[in-house]
Amino acid sequence: MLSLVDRIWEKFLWCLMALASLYVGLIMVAIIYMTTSRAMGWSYNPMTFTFIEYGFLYIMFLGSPWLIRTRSHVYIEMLTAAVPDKVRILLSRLICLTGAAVCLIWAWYTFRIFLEQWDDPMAFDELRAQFDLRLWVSTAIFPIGFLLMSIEFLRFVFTAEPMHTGLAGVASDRAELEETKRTLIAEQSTSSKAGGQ
Amino acid sequence: MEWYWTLALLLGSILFLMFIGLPVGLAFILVNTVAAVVLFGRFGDLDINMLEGIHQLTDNAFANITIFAIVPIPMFLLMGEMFFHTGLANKMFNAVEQLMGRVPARLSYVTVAGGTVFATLSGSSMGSTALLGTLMIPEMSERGYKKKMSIGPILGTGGLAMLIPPSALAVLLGTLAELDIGRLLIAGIIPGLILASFYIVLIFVQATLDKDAAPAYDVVQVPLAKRLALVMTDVVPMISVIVMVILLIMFGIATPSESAAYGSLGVILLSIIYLFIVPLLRGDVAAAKAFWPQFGRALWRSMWGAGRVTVIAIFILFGSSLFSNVLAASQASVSLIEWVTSFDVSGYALLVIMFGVLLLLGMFMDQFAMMLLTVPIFFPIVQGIDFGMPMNMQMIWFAVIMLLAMEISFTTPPFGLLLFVMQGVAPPGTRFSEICMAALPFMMCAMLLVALIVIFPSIALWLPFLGGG
Amino acid sequence: TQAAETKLTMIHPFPGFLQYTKNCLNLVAVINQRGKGVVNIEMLPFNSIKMFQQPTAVSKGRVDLVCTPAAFYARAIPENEAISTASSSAMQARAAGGTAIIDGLHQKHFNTKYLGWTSSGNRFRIYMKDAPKFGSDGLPDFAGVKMRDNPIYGAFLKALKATTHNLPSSAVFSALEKGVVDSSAWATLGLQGLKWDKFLRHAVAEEFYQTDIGWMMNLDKWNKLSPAAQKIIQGAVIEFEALNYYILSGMAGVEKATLMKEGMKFHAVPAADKFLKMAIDSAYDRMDGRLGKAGRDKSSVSKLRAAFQQ
Ligand code: NA
Ligand code: NA
Repeated sequence: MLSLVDRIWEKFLWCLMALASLYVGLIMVAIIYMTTSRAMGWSYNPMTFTFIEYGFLYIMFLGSPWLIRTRSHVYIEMLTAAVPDKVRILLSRLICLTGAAVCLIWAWYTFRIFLEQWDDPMAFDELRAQFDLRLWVSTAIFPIGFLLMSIEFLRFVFTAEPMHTGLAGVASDRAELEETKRTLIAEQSTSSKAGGQ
Repeated sequence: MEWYWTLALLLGSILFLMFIGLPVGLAFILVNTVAAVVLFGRFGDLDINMLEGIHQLTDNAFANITIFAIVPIPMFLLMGEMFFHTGLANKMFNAVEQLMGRVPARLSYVTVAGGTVFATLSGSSMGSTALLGTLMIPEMSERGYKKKMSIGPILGTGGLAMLIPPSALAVLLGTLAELDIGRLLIAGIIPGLILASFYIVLIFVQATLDKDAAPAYDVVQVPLAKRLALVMTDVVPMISVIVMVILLIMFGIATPSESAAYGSLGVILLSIIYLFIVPLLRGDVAAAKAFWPQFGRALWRSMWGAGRVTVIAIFILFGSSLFSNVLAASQASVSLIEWVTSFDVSGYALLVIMFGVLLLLGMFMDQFAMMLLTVPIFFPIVQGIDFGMPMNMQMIWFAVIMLLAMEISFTTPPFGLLLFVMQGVAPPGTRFSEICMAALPFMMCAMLLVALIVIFPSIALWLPFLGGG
Repeated sequence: TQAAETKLTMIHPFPGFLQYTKNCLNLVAVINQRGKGVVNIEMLPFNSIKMFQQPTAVSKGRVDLVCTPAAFYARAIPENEAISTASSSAMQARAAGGTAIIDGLHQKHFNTKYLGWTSSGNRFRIYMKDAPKFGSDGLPDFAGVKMRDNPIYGAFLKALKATTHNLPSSAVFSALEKGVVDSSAWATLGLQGLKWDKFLRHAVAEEFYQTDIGWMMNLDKWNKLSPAAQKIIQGAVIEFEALNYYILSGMAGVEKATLMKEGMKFHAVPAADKFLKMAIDSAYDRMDGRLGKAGRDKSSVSKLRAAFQQ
C-alpha cells in the first residue's frame, strides 16, 4: 500500500519535472518569436519577457522535488565516501533531516508571505510595473516547491538506501552519467542500423 | 563582530555544510536564512524575525532569479542536448575518426576531439570524464594503448571544453559576473585553439618517444574523395551552426542570451534536412518514415536534459545569489575588498592568490559551486586592480583565466575531483598514481596557457575586441 | 545623563559611481556630522537588498532609511507619479504643500515617513540614432523606431506610437552598438557617463518629467526618534532638496552644452505644448486607473497636479 502511494507520488513529481522541461522548450519558442519580431520591426507581446523571466522561478520549484528524489542535485560525496557504511547512513539521514527542516521552515514562512500579498491590493511586481502583476503570482510557487522538497528529504530519512550512496564525486554528475548510459543503450537497441561505433 | 570573523563564519559554515554532503544550494539557503534573521530581524520576537528575514530573502530571490540574464543557461544547454540527441554530434565524431586514417595514436586525438565536444554539450567535465572513461579506456587498452595515452587526453578535454564555444560554463560565468557574454565566448576561441595544439603536440611527442604507447593497427583507408564528402556532409553543417550562433551575436541580430535559441532551431532544421529530407530525396522512404518518432524522442530528451540541468543550476543560483546579498549586507565582502586592495602588493600577486584559492576549492567542489562562491568576491577585487588595460577588457581577460584555473584545479594531483572520478570508472587495477602521472603533462599545458594569457593578454582579447572596445 | 546615539541603517539602490548615490552619501555625511551623539546613519553596501525590494524592506522595518526613486514603489502609492512627472522644482512642490500630501499618503498607506525629494533639476529627453521625424500634428513620428522601454515613460512612448523594447540599462550600450534598439529616453544627466552618445547623435529637445529620488524612513522608527534627531534629519533633507536641485540642473546644463559642442543635434518639437501635456496626461491617466482599481481615494490627485506642475 505504502509503496503504491510512493509510486503514484513519484509519477506526480515526474509530471512536475516534465512541465519544467516543457517550459524550457517554450522559452526557446518565445525567444525566437520575440527576436524575429524585433529584427523585422514588428511589435510583439511584451508579456513574452515576463513569461520567460517568471519561468525560471517556476522551473526551479517544479523540477527540484523530482531531482531530490533521483539524487540529481549537486552534493559532494567525499566525507560520506570515506567513512564506514554505518556512519555514512547515519550521517546521510541527519543531512536529509536537516534538509527537510530547512525546506519546511521556508514552506511555512513563504506561505504566510503569500497570504499577506494575496490580501494586499497594492502589492504588485514593481519591476514590471507596466503590467498588472500581483506579487503573489511569483510567491505562490515558493511554499508549494519547498513543501514538496521537504517531503522528498524526509522520505530519504526512512528509505532503506539513503540519499548518499558512498561513491566519491558529485551526485548530479553520477546521475547524469547513469541517464546518459541508459539513453545510449536505448538508442543502440532501437536503432535498426547499428553501424559506426 | 569584526568583518573577518563574519566572513570566516559565513564562508566556513558553507564549506563545512558542503563538505559533509548537504546539497550545495541548500547549504547556501541554510546559512542565508540564519544570516538574514540576524541581519534583518530586529523585532524582538523570533517568529517575526524569521518571517521578516525569510521575506527579505524571498524578495531578493525573486529579483535575482526572474531576470532575463538567466536565459543563456537553459538555451545553451538545450542547444547542446539537441546536438547530442538528434545524433548529429555523433555523426561528426565518427566522421572525424574516419578522417584521421592511420595517424599514430589517432584514438588519443579522437578522444580529445570527442571529449571536448561531449563536455561542451553536457556542460560538465565530470560527467564527460566519467562517460569517456567508461567508453574509451577499455577500447584503447584493447588496442594496446598505454594508460597515459587514454587517461591523459580524457582529463585534458575539460579545459578545452570550457574555452571553445559554446561553453555553458563560460555563459554561466558571464551571467554571474555580468560580463559581455558574446565577447567572453569569442575570447575563448584562440586560447582554445592554442590549448588544442598543445595537446596535439603533446600526444605526438608522447607517441614518438614511446613507440609502444600507442601501437598502430590496421584500419580501412578511406579514399580522399570520400573524405572530402565526409567533411562536407558530417562536419561542416555542425560547425556552421556554432559559427551561425557566434555571427548572430557579432552582428547584433540576437543578443548573446538569445542566440542559443537560434542555435537550437538550427539543430532542429539540420536534423530535419539530414535525417528526413535527404533520405527522402534519395528515395529511402523507410528511413524518412522512421525519422519523425525518433525526432520527437530527441526533442523530448533534449528538453528533459536541459530542464534537469537548468533546475540544478537555478537551485544553486537561488542560494548563492542570496549569499552574495547577505555577504554585502553583513559588510563582509566590501570590507574584504577594501582590505585586499589596500595592500601595496602587485595585482599579479593577487592573481596568484586567487588562482591558489581556486585550486584549493577544486579539491571538493564542482565548477558551479566554485564560481558562485568566488565571483562576488573575485570580480570586485579585479575591478579594483589596474593591469594596464581598459576595464571591460580586463574583466574578460580575468574570466578566461578563471575558467582555466577552475578546470586545472579539478585535475591537480594529488587532490582533484576529476582524478577521483577517473579512478572510479577506470578499469580495475588502475593505480591512482598512474592517473596523476597521466594528468600531469596535460595540466602543464593548461598552466602554460594561463601563463601565456597573463603575459600576453591579447591572446584572449584580440578577437573579441577586434571591432574596438 | 546623556541618551545614547541612535543608530539607523540605510540602503541605496544604485552603484557608487552614479551622481544620485553620491548625493545620497553626501547627505548622510552631513546628518552624521550634525548628529554626533544624537543620531548616526550606517549605510549598507550596494546590492545588500535588491533595488525594487528596498521600499518594502523600509516599510517593514528591516532597514530604517532609503533614498530611492518614487517610481520604484509606484504600485503601492500610485500618487508617487506626481513626483516622477513633475515640472516644479522640489522647493516649489514643498512650498505648495505637495510634499506634505505625499508624506501623508506614505504614512497612511506605506508605514513610512516621506522626508523629501532630493533629485529635482534633472529631467528626461528622448535620444535617437537618426534625426526624429515630425508628423503633420506637430508631434514626433516614431514609426519604425526601435525604442528602449522603461516603466516610467513607457506609457508616454506608447502614446507616441513607438515600438518599445524592454532592456536593462546595462544591456543598452551593446544593443545600440548592434542596432537592437536605436533610441532611448534618458535623463538629461549621465548619457555621457554611459557612453551612449557614441551612437545617439540626435535628441528631441523638449525635456519632460524629473528624476524622482527621495528619502523615506520607516514610520515606527521615525516616531521613536528624539525630536532633536528628527529635526537634524528633516532639516538636512530639506536643505539638500535645494542644494541637489542646483547641482543636478547645473550639471545637466554643462552636459547639454558638451553634447551640443560634440555635435549632438537637438530637434525642437513643433507642437511642444501638446507633446508635454501628453507626457503628463498619460501618467495621470495611469495613476487614476490604478487608484480606481484599488478603490482608493482620488481627492489628492488634483492638488498634487497643481503642486507638482507649476
Ligand atoms: Na552536466
Ligand atoms: Na565549449
